[in-house]
Amino acid sequence: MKKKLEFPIISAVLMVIYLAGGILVMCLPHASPVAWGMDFPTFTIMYGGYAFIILACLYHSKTNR
Amino acid sequence: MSSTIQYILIICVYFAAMLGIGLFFSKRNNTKSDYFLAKDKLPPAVIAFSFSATQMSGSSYLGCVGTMHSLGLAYAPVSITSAAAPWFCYVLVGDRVCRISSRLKCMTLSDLFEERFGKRAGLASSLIMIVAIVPVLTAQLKAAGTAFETIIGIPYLTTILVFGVIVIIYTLVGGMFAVAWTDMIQGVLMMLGMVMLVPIVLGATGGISGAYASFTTNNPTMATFDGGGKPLLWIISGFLVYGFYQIGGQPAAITRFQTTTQPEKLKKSLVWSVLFQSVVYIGVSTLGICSMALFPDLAAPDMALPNLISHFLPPLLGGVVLAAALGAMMSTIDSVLLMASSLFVNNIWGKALRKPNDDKAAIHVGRIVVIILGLLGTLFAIKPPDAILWLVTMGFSLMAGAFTFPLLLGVWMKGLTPAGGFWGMIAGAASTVIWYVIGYSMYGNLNDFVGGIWPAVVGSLVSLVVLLAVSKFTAPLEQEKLDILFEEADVPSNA
Repeated sequence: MKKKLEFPIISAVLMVIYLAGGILVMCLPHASPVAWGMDFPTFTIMYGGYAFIILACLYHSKTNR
Repeated sequence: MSSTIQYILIICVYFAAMLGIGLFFSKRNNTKSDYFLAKDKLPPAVIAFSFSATQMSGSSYLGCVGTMHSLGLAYAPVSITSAAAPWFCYVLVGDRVCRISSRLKCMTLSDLFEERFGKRAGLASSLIMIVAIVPVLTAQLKAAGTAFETIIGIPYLTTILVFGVIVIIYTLVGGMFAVAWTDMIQGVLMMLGMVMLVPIVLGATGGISGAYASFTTNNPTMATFDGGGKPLLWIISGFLVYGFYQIGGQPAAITRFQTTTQPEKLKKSLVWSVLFQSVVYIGVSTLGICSMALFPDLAAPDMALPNLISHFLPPLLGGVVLAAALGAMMSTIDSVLLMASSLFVNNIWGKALRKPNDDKAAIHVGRIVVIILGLLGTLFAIKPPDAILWLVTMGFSLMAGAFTFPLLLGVWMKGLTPAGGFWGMIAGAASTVIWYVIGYSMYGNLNDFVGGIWPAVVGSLVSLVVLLAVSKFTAPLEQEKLDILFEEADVPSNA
């Protein structure tokens, strides 16, 4: 039996985007509010980023990539 | 009926339910594979909740709101990345740990390390895990005792004795079945707690925008990511440690990938896990902001969540949220007890000491180990020695530093050698401890680090360098074994 292991490359790229994006967002200066009185970095870390994580997990669970 | 009696009533019902589950599953443990892994007998949702509840300790649930209260937005990155932890673990190692463990019949993570990096790596990983995770029992019991003494006035000693005995009993009799199903119930309670409390508290603060406006007005210095007095590198490395580094730092949770032979099951579990953890951490972050908006001058930030509970929920519902906090601690203790027991029975008793390790003997010895470790943890919790407190603080980082890259790269890269894996683990563990000691000698405590960089990050990077460098110059694993590990050959029928 010979089976080629498939590293989930797209999920790994999404993880790099998440980690690098998260660090970048934390370093951004404060700006004007975008939602619930929070500026973009605060909103992303407090709430918006969760949507990215959940969608990325759904993507992996559907495609295995 | 007084509110204290109502709290105690709910918690007694909760304790009775946990014991009932343990007894219900006690008849299902016929083999050591049943007792330690409930192999292929857990549905995806149970694997998911068990993984997540194990990963989230009492400090994630009860303590996070308090830490957010102390540090403000500086702690928000830790919350979101904690919710992302299952994503890193399931995707990067879940599938491979499941497949390798199924093919080679690995019962513990140390078995997997032994197959990949040889016997001494297997034994070294067992010892590091046991030393690092057993003090967690003490920490969780201590947290439970302190919380319940402060919140409802139950004496510290009574709480830890009752709490300790109940966890020991259901883990002892029910094994992984009981641990996983109680974790599931504890997880559901944790979500329920957030779903009940958050809307009520937000209603009192004028919604998210009202709460955030009051928070920034009351605490202007804490409304930035680096405003809680911590350097930016501390916040960034915390963001990495609570997410990505859970791969190596939480072996008790990673063990859940060994409970099934079907990787497809884990895909479903991943979605459950991440939804569960997202609900809890969004709730925790929101409550942290609300608490700072409502009680900016709270003397003891650890009391932030209990304070919100007593102000906004009737005692019966408050009791459910407190039971959820208790559940977060219990789910960590039961998993740690079972994992330490399986490591001892399988890797030390059976393999290193070559003692009888058939199904009956393994379950018997495993149960004795659960009792001994549980009682030791409870005894230490009565008055924790300084050495235990040190280990509690270092435990997670020690494992994250030692195991993250050997596990992650070991299951994907054929080029790593047994010597590389072994020395990678040792170098990771040693440099993590050294980084703590340097921080302690400079700042006088275990929570401040040189440059704000967490020890797990330093340890794992040293481990990575040593892993790759030693692998470059040492002999690889036999080709036959590599082919089996990387699914290029079938497992011999006599294996």
